[in-house]
Amino acid sequence: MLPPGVSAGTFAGAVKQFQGIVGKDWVFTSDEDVALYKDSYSPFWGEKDEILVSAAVAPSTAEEVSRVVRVANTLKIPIYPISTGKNLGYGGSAPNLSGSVVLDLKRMNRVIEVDDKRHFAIVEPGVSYFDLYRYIQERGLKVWIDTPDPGWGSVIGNAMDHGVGYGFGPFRDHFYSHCGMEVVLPNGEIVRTGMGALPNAKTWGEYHYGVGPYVDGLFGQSNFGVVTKMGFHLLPAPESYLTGTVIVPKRNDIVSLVEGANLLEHAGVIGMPEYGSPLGGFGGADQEMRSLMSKPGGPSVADLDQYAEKTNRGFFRLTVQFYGAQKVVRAQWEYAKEVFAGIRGVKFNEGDFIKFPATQEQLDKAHKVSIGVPNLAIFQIGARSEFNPSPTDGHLWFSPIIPKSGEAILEAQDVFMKAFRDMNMPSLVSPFSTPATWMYRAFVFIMGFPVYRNNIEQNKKTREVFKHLIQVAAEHGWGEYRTPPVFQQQVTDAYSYNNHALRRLHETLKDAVDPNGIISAGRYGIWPKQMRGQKKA
Amino acid sequence: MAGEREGAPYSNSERVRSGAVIVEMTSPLALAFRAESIQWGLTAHGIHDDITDLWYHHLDRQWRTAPAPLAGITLSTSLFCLETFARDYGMRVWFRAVHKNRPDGLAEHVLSGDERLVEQAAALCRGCDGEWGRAFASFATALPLAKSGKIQQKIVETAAPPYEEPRPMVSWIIGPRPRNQSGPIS
Ligand SMILES: Cc1cc2nc3c(=O)[nH]c(=O)nc-3n(C[C@H](O)[C@H](O)[C@H](O)COP(=O)(O)OP(=O)(O)OC[C@H]3O[C@@H](n4cnc5c(N)ncnc54)[C@H](O)[C@@H]3O)c2cc1C
Repeated sequence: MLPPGVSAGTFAGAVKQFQGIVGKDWVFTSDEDVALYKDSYSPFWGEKDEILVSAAVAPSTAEEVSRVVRVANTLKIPIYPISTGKNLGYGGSAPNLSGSVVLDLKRMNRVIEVDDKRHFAIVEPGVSYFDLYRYIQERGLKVWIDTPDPGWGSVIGNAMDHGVGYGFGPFRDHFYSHCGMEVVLPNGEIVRTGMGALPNAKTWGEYHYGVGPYVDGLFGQSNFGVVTKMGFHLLPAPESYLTGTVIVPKRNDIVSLVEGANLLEHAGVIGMPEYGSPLGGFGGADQEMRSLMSKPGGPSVADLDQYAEKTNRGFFRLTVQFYGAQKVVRAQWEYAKEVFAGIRGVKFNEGDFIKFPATQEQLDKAHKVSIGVPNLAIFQIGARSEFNPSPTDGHLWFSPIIPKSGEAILEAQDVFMKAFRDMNMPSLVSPFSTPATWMYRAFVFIMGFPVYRNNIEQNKKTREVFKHLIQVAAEHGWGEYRTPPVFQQQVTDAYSYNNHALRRLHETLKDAVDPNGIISAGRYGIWPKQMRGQKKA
Repeated sequence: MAGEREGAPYSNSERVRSGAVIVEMTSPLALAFRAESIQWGLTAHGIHDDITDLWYHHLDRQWRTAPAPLAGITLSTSLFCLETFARDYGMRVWFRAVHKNRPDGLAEHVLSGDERLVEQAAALCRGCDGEWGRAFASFATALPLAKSGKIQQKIVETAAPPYEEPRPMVSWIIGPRPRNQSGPIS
């Protein structure tokens, strides 16, 4: 396959030049090799719209990246940078534009610096969470990383797509906690932002802004450059960790529960609050629950409260997590209980306590990502089991951001349950659904839609449902924080204030920074000028 | 111990012993494979679906320094993780066989991958008398090298094994990409 608009001769010339820069072994053009860059969770598996790659190039230094980019810019070859390329559920390692050359940065896997007195790291794109964790462990450094569920992703790649983790406070917003970048611009020039712009910078990983306009945000979820280094703030390793559970009896208690958790979290008392319902989803529902759920229009609040009372399990549950000195976390738990004490019928359970270093038994039992330990346990949920009789081949994440309030949770439940009913689809949302809390200041009402490698019809249906939900969410003022390439146009279209003023600003910047449109064409709805009309539709 | 099996059409230089075997500890099929592999002198690593510890403590180092073929019987979720990781080290899945016990009392084995491996594994499977775990262990001691050749798929039916298999298992072989290129890259 050739990149769009590029002749076979030009492409062959480009490949030759890439080989001259990175070495023959690091330019991949065989069908077998380029097929590996397809999205493993593609919703187009086996269809003509499947996104394919023409070649991949794997440089090992920023200078090589710069030279590759210069060649691509001269010959107008579309390129698509990835770090470790494991963006599963949001597009994997596949580009938005079929035929792009993937710029695979896995070989750039150096940890430049970790400082456990000033608490930051500077890394290259190929450094995974496992790599950084190992580096810290092997040196006995007293800092924690903040890791997403799968630990094999890139610290930079995850942040570039605004990825998130499970740890304390704003650390789990990985772009927010970054500090300073090195970026190769589409003309091949290497730029450093923040304090890194200062030759011999001493505070690259510590102070975000340097001086003057802060441009880092432009490089996240976009196509203005290739990031080759990034600083990140790290959490000082805490002495201990404690969890506690707060259970409330009625559906509307979620309002007070969230208010209390917000108070604690925004004041830095707790880490990530985790909401759930002891009543669970439909899977474990008993006969009474099933008949309640099948009532026309769904069950009333009173029905649900009565059911919850009968089962005596409570309606909603909040797990709070404390990090710090033993004395402090115990006092914080006492304080947290005071905050929730006003909710009628509230119950408290003290959970796990760990004084670090954790024992193997404590580690095995813990939710590892909450204590900064990267792992892959999350993939176990995909295995066939009694509770998952028909495993899928992957999923698409639908991730609308909603306000951080109990009212918003209840509204989102109602709105999305209705949306599924309207589409005559089994609902992924129930009156017990709760949002993910990775964002520090907002909720994500996330849903995972199944994709299959052997069921084109089902995948088509899923894409339709997904699109409908984007629309429904937008009508309620909720936008997605991140989305697979197939939906990026629609999702960004919804951010339309003042006749798409933001899109137009992005396009103006794109034209100025990348006039040939070589980098990540179409990423989050930003197309190069020459493709704009045709691709937007 | 790791000698040629009778009638195999390849010379010793075309075969390689699996560096170790990976075993899902909840599966009777995989446990049979494990027991036989140990008899053959292979190191067996047990997992409970999650490959994190295995990868972090063994495979990462091993694949960085000396990527060698590896055989396993695991859940498909474990294989997905191993396969995805393997690409980063210039390794590929050479062969896989998905096993399913059917309601009619037969077991179905869907074999796919490198033509040479599929051919030989299919012959082995047909003659294994329902004891695929044992047969695959002996296969792992002298694996035919994948030669970047054609990809093939074959379905073999055998008698069902004499035990309940709670979840469908996959037998697989991961090895360096046929052009023998290594490095941390897909
Ligand atoms: C079961 C499961 C659970 C998950 N849980 C989480 C979770 O908890 N949190 C979370 O955030 N995600 C989660 N994900 C999604 C995803 O797997 C992770 O976010 C993963 O870290 C992203 O892949 P990566 O780190 O390899 O980034 P990459 O795939 O390398 O990068 C992502 C994108 O960022 C851009 N990019 C990357 N590097 C550069 C660069 N150097 N310069 C310019 N642009 C670049 C590219 O557009 C690229 O496609 C989950 C996925 C699954 C399947």
